[in-house]
Amino acid sequence: MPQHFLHVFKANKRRIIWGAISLLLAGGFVSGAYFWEKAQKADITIYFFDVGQGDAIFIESYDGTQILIDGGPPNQILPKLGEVLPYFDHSLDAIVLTHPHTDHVSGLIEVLARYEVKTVIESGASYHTSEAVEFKKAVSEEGARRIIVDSQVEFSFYDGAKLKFLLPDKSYESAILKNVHDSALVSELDYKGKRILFMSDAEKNIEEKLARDGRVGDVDVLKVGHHGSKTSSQEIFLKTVKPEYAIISLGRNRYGHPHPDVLNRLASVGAKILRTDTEGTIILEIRNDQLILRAEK
Amino acid sequence: MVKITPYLLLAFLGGVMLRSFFDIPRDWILAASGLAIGFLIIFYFFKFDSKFLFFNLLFLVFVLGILRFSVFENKIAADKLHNYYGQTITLQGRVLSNALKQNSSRIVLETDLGRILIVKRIYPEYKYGDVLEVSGKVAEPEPYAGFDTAKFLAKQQIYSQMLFPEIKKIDYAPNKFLSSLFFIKDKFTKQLKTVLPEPYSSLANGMLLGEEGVLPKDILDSFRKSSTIHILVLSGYNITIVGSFIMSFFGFFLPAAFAWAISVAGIVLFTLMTGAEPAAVRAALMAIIGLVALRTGRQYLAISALLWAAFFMILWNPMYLRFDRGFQLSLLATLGLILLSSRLFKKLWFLPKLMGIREAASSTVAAQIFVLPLLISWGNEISYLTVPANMVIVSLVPTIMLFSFLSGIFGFIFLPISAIFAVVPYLLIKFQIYAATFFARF
Repeated sequence: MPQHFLHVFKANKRRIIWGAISLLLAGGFVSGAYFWEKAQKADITIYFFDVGQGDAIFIESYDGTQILIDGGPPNQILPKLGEVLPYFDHSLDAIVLTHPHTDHVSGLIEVLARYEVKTVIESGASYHTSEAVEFKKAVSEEGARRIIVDSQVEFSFYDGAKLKFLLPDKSYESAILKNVHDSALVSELDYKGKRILFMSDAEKNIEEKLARDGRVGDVDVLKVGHHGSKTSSQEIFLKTVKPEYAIISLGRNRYGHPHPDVLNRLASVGAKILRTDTEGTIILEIRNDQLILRAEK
Repeated sequence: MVKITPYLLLAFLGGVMLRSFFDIPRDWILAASGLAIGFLIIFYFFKFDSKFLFFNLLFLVFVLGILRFSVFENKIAADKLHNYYGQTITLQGRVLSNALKQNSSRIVLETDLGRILIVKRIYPEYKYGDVLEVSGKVAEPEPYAGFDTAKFLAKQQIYSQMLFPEIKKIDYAPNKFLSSLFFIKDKFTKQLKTVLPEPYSSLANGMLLGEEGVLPKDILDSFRKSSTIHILVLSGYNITIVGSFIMSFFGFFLPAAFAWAISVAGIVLFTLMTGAEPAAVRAALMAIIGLVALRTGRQYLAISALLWAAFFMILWNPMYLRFDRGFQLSLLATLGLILLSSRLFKKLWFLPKLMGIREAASSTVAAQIFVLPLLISWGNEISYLTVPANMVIVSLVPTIMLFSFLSGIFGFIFLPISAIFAVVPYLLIKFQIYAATFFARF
């Protein structure tokens, strides 16, 4: 038998050698591409994915810490994540569910099914839809560490970067609320003096509380609350946070988002408005202490 | 006698085809068959020349084809649900299949009164064998965007639908054999999905199983515009090519007959892994016939085998002929492979024989020429770059299928190997999407 293989090898020597060379070249190309990508990476990259009407925000740092805030409506998030995650990467460090509405939770169910998730951060509020129930089930099946935000907490990761949760300040574990927006997780990312505020679907009452208690100050980028609805982004709040950039995550909808008044108020505090429905996925990079924003359709 | 069989089979298919486009009154069909049988009797007594007998038999079989379709369509008589159109009722039934759409999912429910299509929210998900109680309004399927939904559903003997009913799961009572097939399929696709990210895994799955599933709209649009969307229809032709890959790989160090047997076994394994759904079984049958043609090079044998296979499938369900894209694609592409590829092989003398490039090109072009009329009849946009676009995009499908399949199989054994195999479909699909966006621009 070995002689038979030797014979086969001799007869196809050239082919086999060429095959080996092309395999080596392919391997070299792949590893070259990997290191090139690594060298190009910013300190912090934040993707405001274009997932239609909903929120899905992905934060990645240079050292590879990955956090996903909300998953958007069904069947949107996975292709977006597939594009930004490296091929062999099948895990996320943390996912955050800001509140259990369908346009925030659905994609997270899919993410839990596909990726290994180490930590789940949420308010714990209960909601009656099948999506919210399914999410609870998926989290317990995943066996991930579950963190209920019930007071101001912060998570430090790369080079002094911090993700701070500003609200809620009490536990909503298993609570049934008239308006689940009241339990929304509001968070802020701080890195070398740059501040990005994620408002989820927080409404007027939460904005007032944040401004009154002095929990927020001047920020660089504001993820506008509730997809640009008129329930949010009150003048007094905007004057406190004074964003340079305002990002609205939305798609075609029947609620009239974004409300023209909101757009006016944002413009009047001098914010440059970026929308996922018209510009696609919005990518924010912090690189050499500079904020760089671009959009990708 | 043997020589006329292919013509008779064609006549039968022709009858079914005619009837699937036009409604022919039953009286006419009965009169025509009476006529044909009458002539046959006359022939028996008067002994005209055999040409007369030939055309008479042809006519008789043609009419039988028409009759087969009419009889099948009358199956609606056995369905009782269509008597409840417009009424709100509560039904109990077993889930036969479950398909995910962009914002909803569709399940087919087998009830005592007949089959019904249920459109529901994505969650909670139900699987094959679940027994559900649904209450809602029974309705007639409506045409959607110029698409005759009712006929497509009638193919599966579904004549009614229910939109967003109240659903309660009451039991799980599957058929043991089928549920184990579904289990394998589920496991297989899950393995593939853990190693391949989206949208690549959905596309790989679509090519393997012929399910469109849920894909980003811009990607689907590019495939549509470059008239290559049929990569998501499972075609026996592609399986034939996969089989020939396996054959040439093992042919490298094993006797040809062994290599052939292994590749047929590979196709059977593939069919099992993909749940042995009727569409996959049909495609696999055609693929094995295609392999016979490639292996023996005997055209007549291959064609009559293909026609017999088509005949039995159409006899089983005559609606496939017009309403099942997988069937149409398999039939025509395999026919092109049998009839044209060896001739093209000589014409393409300028291509190198190295690594089977010329062979691959000739079979792709042959299949493509035969499939082109189908693409037009499906109402796809046909650009003048259709042929190069298909050469580039569709000819990658068998390689993607082979490596996704290997990756899925190795997922059962050792995940890292599975991930390495999946690199091939990952890169090739990336290229396909890129090429489709490029060709869609013209």
